[in-house]
Amino acid sequence: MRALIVDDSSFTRKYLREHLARLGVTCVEAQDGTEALEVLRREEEFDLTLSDVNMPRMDGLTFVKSLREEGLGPAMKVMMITTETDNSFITRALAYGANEFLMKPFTSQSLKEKLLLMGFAGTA
Amino acid sequence: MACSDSDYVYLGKLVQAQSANVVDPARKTLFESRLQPLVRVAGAANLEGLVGLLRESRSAPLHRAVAEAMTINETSFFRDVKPFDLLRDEVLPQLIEQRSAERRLRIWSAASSTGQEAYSLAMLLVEHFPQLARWDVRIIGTDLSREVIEYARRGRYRRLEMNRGLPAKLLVKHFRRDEDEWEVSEGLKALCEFEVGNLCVPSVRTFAFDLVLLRNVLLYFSKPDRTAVFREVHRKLSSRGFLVLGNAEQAEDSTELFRAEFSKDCYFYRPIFDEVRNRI
Repeated sequence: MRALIVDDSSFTRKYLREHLARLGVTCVEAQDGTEALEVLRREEEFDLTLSDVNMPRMDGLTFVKSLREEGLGPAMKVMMITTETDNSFITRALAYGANEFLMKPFTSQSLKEKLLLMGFAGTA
Repeated sequence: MACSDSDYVYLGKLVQAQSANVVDPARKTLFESRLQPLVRVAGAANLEGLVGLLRESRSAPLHRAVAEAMTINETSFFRDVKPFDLLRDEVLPQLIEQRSAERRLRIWSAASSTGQEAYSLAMLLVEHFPQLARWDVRIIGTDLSREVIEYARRGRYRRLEMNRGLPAKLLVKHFRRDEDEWEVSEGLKALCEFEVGNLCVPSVRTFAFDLVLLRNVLLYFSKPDRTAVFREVHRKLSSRGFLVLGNAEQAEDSTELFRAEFSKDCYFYRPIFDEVRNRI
């Protein structure tokens, strides 16, 4: 299983990468939506993208909307990981094409449970 | 002075007598951390002092409080996922067909903790079985602990709890954010009720449940207590009802009152009856 981690915080990327590695997930990293789109346009398929929302150059909402509009990885699941927790924001993220949502701060247990919820049974 | 080994053995026996929960007396740190708040409430100087108070008094509330404090309240929305797929695809369609004349469903979330299992069931019903809106449906959560029952009744959850197992689309549909908490919708609350109940004490409820969820509880019980709980669940289950246990639990080693079935990667249980009962 391959995942793309999109976050401008190197600490968060490392945290996610290490947790996902323990679950047998191979990760590629991008620092913002612009870089992530470039990765998706040139790389082979990913099963999952985990994206922050507030990032420089291109934010997470614009990123998920763009990747869905471009049809990049149509079967790929996208989970937003963010401190934005208003229902209206979550609704908008889902409408743009996100599949799931995890609020920061989160635990490794809650990350595993969200992956299970998204159908990645082998990771939980 | 620290507690003696016999103090921990005493605490272990007390907890088992009150709740059937078996806690190894060797788990001293667990006793100490869980009972520390109670030490202060009881006005004792330390855990040893609390044990002294417990030994001296026959105070049922204090004994009960110790058992409640040692209870494991681990839970999450849609815990383990697969059992809810089983309910959605196999169990609930069968129950709805069985109950189509009466239009009544009774579901028991046994050892319901802070209510996430009961509210997950309510969401499952609302999302996938809209016809039940015209039925008499009750999801009844019971737990030994008054504290967690109050919590479940309030139906307000913190970020850490909302992050655990709850699909985003259900979060926005069934919860209202209020500062740092999210409150369950009135529609879900109306389907659920919560009450204090000890699994080891027979209750006076007269109606039969169609579905009982008793998950991740009995693995902490002794075999005789498991057998007694299965007997009570069997008594409360309708003749064509369903019992769902936790992933790591099985009924076969403790009772002959249920037969196992397997579907959707999950085991579940149906009651066995020697004679036809007139309670469905």
